[in-house]
Amino acid sequence: MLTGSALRWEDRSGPWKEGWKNLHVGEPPKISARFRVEGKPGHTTVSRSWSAAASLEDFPSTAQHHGEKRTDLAGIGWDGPLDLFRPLLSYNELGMIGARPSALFDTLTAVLGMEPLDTALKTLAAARLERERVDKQVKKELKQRILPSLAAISGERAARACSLLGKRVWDLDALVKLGTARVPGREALSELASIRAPDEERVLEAVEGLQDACSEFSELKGTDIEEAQRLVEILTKALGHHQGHHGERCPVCGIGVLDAEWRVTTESQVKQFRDKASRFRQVKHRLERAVDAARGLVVAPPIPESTAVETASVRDLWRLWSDLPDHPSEMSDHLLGLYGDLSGEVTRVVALAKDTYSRQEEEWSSVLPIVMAWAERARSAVKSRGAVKQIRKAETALKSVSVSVRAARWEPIESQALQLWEQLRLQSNVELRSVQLAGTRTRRHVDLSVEVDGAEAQALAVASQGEISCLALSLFFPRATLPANPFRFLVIDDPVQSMDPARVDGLARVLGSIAADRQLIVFTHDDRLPESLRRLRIEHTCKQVTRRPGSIVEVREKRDPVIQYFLDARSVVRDSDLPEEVARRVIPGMCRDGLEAACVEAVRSRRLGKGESHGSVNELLGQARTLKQKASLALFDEAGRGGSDISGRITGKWSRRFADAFWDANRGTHRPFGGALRGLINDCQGLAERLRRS
Amino acid sequence: MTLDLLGYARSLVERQEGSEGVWPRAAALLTRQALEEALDHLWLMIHPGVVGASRATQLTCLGHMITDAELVADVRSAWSSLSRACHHHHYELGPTAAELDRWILQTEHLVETLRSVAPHPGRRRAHLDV
Repeated sequence: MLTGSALRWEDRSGPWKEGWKNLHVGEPPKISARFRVEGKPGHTTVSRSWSAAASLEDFPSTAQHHGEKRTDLAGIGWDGPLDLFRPLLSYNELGMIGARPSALFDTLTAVLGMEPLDTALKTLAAARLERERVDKQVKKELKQRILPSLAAISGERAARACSLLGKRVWDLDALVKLGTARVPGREALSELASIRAPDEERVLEAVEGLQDACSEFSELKGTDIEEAQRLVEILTKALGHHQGHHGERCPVCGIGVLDAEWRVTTESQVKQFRDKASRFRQVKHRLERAVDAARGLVVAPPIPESTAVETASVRDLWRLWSDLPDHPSEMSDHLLGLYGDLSGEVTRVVALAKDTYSRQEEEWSSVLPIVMAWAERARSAVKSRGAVKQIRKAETALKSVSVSVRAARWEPIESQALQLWEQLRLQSNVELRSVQLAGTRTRRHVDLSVEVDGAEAQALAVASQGEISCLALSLFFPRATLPANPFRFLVIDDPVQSMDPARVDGLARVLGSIAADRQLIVFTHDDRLPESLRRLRIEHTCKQVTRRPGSIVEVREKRDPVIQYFLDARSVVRDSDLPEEVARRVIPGMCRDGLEAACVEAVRSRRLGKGESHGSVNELLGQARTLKQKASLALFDEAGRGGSDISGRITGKWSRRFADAFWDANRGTHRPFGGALRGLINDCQGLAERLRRS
Repeated sequence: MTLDLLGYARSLVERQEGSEGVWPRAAALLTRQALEEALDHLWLMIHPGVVGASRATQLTCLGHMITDAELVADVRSAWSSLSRACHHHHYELGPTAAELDRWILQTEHLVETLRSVAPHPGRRRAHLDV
């Protein structure tokens, strides 16, 4: 009703989930409970109901503080604390302590309030893992996609990109610059593509100029014009000679004298010859210009080396082309002879370079988008490496804080658990040494280390089922009694089952101490716990649940058995529905049970008080089957005394009437009692009260 | 039998109200007495000497009187359960309605059978007149 589930059917299917409805009630099933809540007047009612067709798990909760609006468990704020402190311990949970180690760990740690720290740790780890994942992904992409696709294409930029990414630290800036630059920069191929052979017209012009100049020049050979030119040269030199050798004899003929007259004459001669030779000079000048033009054509441009295109032949042809003959008359043949080859080769090489270059450009632009997109991610991945370092630091710091906070909060729970185990274990030789939260993630568990007769062991390996129940209780109570737990009630289902008799006393004491300041509801179908509570005089209320045919359930307060039997007997006397004949048959049996209960109680408290073990006392009492045998133990503290001894002792100690009542009850169990029923009950009860205190 | 003990026992178990808390033990006491009376009646008729013997002995002898071995086994188990239920036992709760119902049924069956029982063939025993 509170938790919305039960271990009995949780994680189970089929038959476990059928047959949960009361077979004898037609109305839709409903369960409800009333609580008293601090600060709220009246009661708070929590209930769940199923509609006619609803399945087992389909049962909405309603909750209502007195005088307030009806809502559900979450509405009154119980859902969280119920989950955290779960004030219920079912029998299944008692036995399941070791079945799911992680579940026990979770249950115990939940109450430590570590959730905010755990959440922070998880958040940090998630943030770090995400960044690490991206980084890993970027590295993987580089290795599997980017580098191979760059390597698959040719071109300087691809090669350069490869070398930028091949380093330990990627040069992403350079990569991006490489990718985004509009002009690819100086590259061998583009330069190769731009070389040009000399313009054909210019070559033909130069050849024509050379040829014309040469032929004109050669036409002047042997003419008086050439003669005049030669004379100009000789006479000019002679005039120069005369400058320093005034009046001397002619060095050529040795007869004439180089005087002033000679000079005047000669100067005028030179003038005449010069006029005559002017055409010669024009022709010579033209020839020189033609030679200069030819020289200008043969200057080789720089030809870059390229791995993609073979340049040796064009280089050779340029070298031949540049090697111009000395004589102008041979020059035109040189030019004409080589120009065709050269320009053909240049055209071929340029076309090849252009072709190769544009292919490379195409390939580059095909990989460029993925490289750039990767670079974008890589940049943020590289940037987040710093963050990962910081996150790691934060995780380490927070973890150590978390460990110490957990230890500090766990310590009181552990010490209370150890203390409870000490109380519960009684005659067990299993000593609980520590309860530690251990492991992480899927290996998380609770480490219950014990010592068995001095040897270390793990509790779950050596504990009996009863001891495991005790361990579960030792771990349950500290959690349920934490000050933060808003629930002042605890419900435990059958903690006594599979417990040794001795341990029941320990349990009764523990329950007593827990119940000192909270409401403790224990279900059991084993009478040992009530017996122990009565014997140890621990304050409690015992209610007995009896089921009549048709699922009619009676709940009535149960007193201690001695009193209860006589109360029962009196109620039979009063019951007008039962004929007296029946009462006469039934009442002596009840009186006898009352007497037996009194004897058993006397024997048990006397012997246990003397330090005898539960086992031996139980064995002794188990052998005493009849009232007579039990009375022998109660009155004489030994078995086997006869009827007359018993009568004598009762008469001697108390009265004859009690002795008579004793035998009336014993006999009347088998045949109808003829005397006064109320008298029998009174006498037997009087005797029983005395017996139990003997 | 002057009183229909089993009838009362059954009505106690089957009633839906009244005798709160008392009915299981009362029904057990009545059923056991019915069973004991049936046995006493049998021995008085055929072998009065056995009446004083312990119930355990009587139940052993019953095996020689009744051929229906299953019934004898039922009666033995009903009687020992009833005796347990009719004594005080710490650590044990009263019998349930289903248990009582079974014991009453078994006892009824015994009473019926004892009424019509013939001594075991081959045994020297007096015949019962019903």
